[in-house]
Amino acid sequence: MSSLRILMYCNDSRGMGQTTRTLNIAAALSKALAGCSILVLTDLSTVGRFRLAERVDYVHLPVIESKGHAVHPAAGLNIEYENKLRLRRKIAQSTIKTFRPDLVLLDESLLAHAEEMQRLVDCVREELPATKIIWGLSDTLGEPEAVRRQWRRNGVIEIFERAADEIFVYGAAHVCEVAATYELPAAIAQKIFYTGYLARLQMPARRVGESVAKWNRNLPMVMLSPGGGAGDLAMLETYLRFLEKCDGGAAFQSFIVAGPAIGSHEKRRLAQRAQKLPNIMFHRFGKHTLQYARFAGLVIYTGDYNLTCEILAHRKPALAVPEAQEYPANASRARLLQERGLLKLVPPENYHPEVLQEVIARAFFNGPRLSPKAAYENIPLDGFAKIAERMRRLCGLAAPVELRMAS
Amino acid sequence: MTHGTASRILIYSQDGFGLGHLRRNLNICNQIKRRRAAASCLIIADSPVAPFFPLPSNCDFIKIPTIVKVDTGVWRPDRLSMSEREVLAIRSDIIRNVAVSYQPDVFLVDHMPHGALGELAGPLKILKQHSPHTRIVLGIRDILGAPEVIHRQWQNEGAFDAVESFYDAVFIYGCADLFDVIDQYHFPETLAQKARYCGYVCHETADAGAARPRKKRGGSPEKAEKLILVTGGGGADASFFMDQFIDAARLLRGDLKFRAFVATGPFMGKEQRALLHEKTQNLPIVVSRLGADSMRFVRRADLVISMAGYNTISEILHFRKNAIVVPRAGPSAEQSMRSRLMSARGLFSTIHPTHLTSENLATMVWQKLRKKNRINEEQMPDLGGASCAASLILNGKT
Repeated sequence: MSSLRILMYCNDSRGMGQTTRTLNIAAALSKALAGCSILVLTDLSTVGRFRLAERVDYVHLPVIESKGHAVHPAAGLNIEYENKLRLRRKIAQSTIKTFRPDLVLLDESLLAHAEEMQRLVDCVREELPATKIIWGLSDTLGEPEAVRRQWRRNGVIEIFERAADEIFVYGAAHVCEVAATYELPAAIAQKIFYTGYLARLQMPARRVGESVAKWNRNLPMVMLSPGGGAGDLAMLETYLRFLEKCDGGAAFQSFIVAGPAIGSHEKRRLAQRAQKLPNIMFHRFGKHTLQYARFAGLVIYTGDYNLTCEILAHRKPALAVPEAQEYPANASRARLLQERGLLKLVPPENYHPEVLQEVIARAFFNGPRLSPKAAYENIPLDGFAKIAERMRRLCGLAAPVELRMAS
Repeated sequence: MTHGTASRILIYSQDGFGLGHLRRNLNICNQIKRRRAAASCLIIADSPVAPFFPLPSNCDFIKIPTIVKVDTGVWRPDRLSMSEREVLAIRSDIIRNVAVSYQPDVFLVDHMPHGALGELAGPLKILKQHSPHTRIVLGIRDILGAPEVIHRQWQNEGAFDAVESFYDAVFIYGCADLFDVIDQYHFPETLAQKARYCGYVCHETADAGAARPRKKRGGSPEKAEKLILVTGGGGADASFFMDQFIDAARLLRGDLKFRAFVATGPFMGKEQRALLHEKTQNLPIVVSRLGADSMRFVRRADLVISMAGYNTISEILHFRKNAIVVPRAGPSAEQSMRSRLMSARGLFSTIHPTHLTSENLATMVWQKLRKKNRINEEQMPDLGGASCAASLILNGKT
C-alpha cells in the first residue's frame, strides 16, 4: 500500500471538459495506486455533480471569469479581479503546503494563466523540492504559430524548463509530434511522454443504459453534441433545419445534447420546433453525456478532446465542426484525424443541411465508409493505464503483481 | 468600507453528508442579494455536492476537503486516505488564508462556534488581528439537541468561550416562544446579550402564505387525485420511512386516488434507491433524486411526508402544508424535539420512527387527506429569518 499523495490542478472557465478529464484520470489513478490520496483543484462550478472515485476529493476555487457557460451563469464574486486571483493563489498555496503532494499533475488549461501558473510552480518548488511536477497536455494544442506566441507571452518554455519533471501528452506522436509542431527545445522534448488517448471502456452508467433502452431499436442514431461553446446554437439550428427539410422522411433518430450555453428561453424555442419532428430526443449536457457516443451510429460534434476519445475507443463515424477561433485545438485535432481517415471535418461556414444529408447517407445507407477500420489500428487508447504506470515509476514505486487470467 | 455598508460576506457552512446548512445559508444569501445586489457572498462549504442549489449572482463558493461526522465529536475524512488531523490542517489553513485575503465585512459562521473539531479557532484568531473591522457572527438553528447534551458539549469543547472571545453577535434561526435556546442551553449572560432571535429561515418567495388553489383533476375536491411528496432532505438515512410509505401506499391504493413523488436526495445509497424503485412497481409513485427541486414540489403537494430537518420543516410551514413528520430517532434529539414542539401546536402530525408502521402511516395519510388542513395562524412561528438575518448582516440592525 502506498500513501502517495497526488495534487491535480485544472482551470475550467471555458466548459467542463478539463475537469471531466482530470476527474477521470484521478479515478483511474485511485484504482491503480492503492492507498493513494488525490486532491483536485478546480474552478468548475458544477464539479459537485460528478461522482467522485474513492480516495479522490476536490477543492473548489472561486471562478475568475464567468463566460455564461455554467449552469450557474451568474457565479463569481463582485470583487476586483486581482483579489480573486489572490484568493485562488492563497487557496492553492495552502493546499500545497498542507497536503504536501508527492506528485503534482497540472492541466494545460493553466498555461493560459501566466501569473497563476508561475506562482503555483514556484510554491511547489520552494515548499516541496522533492515533489514531481507533471504537465498534462492534449494530443494537440492548436495552430502552431498561435500556440508559440501564447507560450512566449506566458513564459511557458521557461516553466517547462525549470518546473516540469515530465510532460504528458494525452495522444500519440504519429498523430501530432508535439515537440516538432511547437518547436520545443531539445531539453523539453526529452521530457515528453505520450500516454495515448484516454479511452474509457468500462460499463456506462446505469442511467445511460436506461435511457438508451428507450431508443427505437430499428433506427440508427445520430448523436449531436454541440459542446459548450458559442457556436453550439448555430450547430443545433442547422441540424433542425436539415430535419425539417427531410419532412418526416428521416430513417434515423436523433439524440441532441443541448449545450450548457444555450439559455432556457432558446431551449424552449428549440424544443417547440423539435416537437414537430419525429424521432428526436433532447438531452441536457451533463457528466454522462460522453457515454452516449458508444450507442450512436454517427457523432456530430465540435472536435473536443473527451468526445474524440470516445469516438476513437468505440470506432464511431464522426463529423467534426470545430470552431477554429474559439477552440483552435479542436480544429487542429479534427484536421489531423481527418488526414488519418478517422473522421470528416467541415468548418462551421460550410456546415449546411446538404452536408448533413451526405454524411448521414454515408454513415447509414450507402457510399464509402466515413472511417475505414484500418484507420483505427495504430491509435493507442490505453492512456489511463499508461499514466498510472508512468507515475508509479516516477515515484519509485514497484509495479504491481499482474494477475493474469489463465488462458 | 464603513460600518453599515457591508458588502463582502464570508460564510462557513460545514455539511459533510447533508445539505441543511448550505440550504439555510443560501436562503440568507438570496435575501442579502435582494437588499444589496452588489454584495459579494463567499461560502466555504464542504459538501461533496456543493453548491447543489443555484447560487445567486455575485456569490461563489470554496469547497474544502470533506469530513463526515460519525458520532458526537468524532469525524473522519470522507475520501482521502489520511488521518482526520491532516485533513483538518488542510481545511483550517485554507479557511485562514481565505479569511485574511478576502477581508470580509461580516464572517457568518454556521452552527459551530469554532468549527468542526475546532478548525476555526486559528482562523478566527488571525482574522481578528488582521481584519479588526470584520463583524463575526454565529448563526445557530432553532434547536441544537437535548439541553443537557448541548450544554455539556459546548462547555467541554470551549464553544461558550469561543463565542465570548470571537463573536460580535449570535443569530438564532428560531423563536424564543417555541424553544428558548438561551434559557434551555444556559447561555452565559454575556453571550445572551449578543444573541438575537431571527425567526425561521426558509426560501422566502413573493407568493408566501397559503397555497394557491390548484386546478383539481377529476371533478369534486374529494375525488380529485392527491399529490403526495415524500422527502428526507439529503436522504442519507431516509430509506427506512420511504420504504414504509410505499407499503402504506399499497394499502391505500383501493381507497384513495393519489400520485406520489419520493425524493430520495443526493446522499441515499444507489442500492437503497434501486430497492425503493423496484418496490413501487404498479403503484403511482415516482422515485427520483429530485435534489434541489424537491422544494418546488412542497408547494404543489397536497400532503408532505418528511423527516424533521430544519429546512424541510421551514418550507412546510412556509407553504402551510398538510404534513406527516417522522423525525430522525437519534443520535441527536434535535428532530424529535422539533417535531414534538410543533405538532403540539397543531402545525403538523408526527409519528415517531419507533412507532411507525405501514398501517398507522396509511391511516394517517387517509385522515390527513380527507379533511382540510386547518392551521391556527397564531401558532405559526415567525418565518422571516432569512430577511432578518440579511438585514442584520448588511446594516447591523433590522
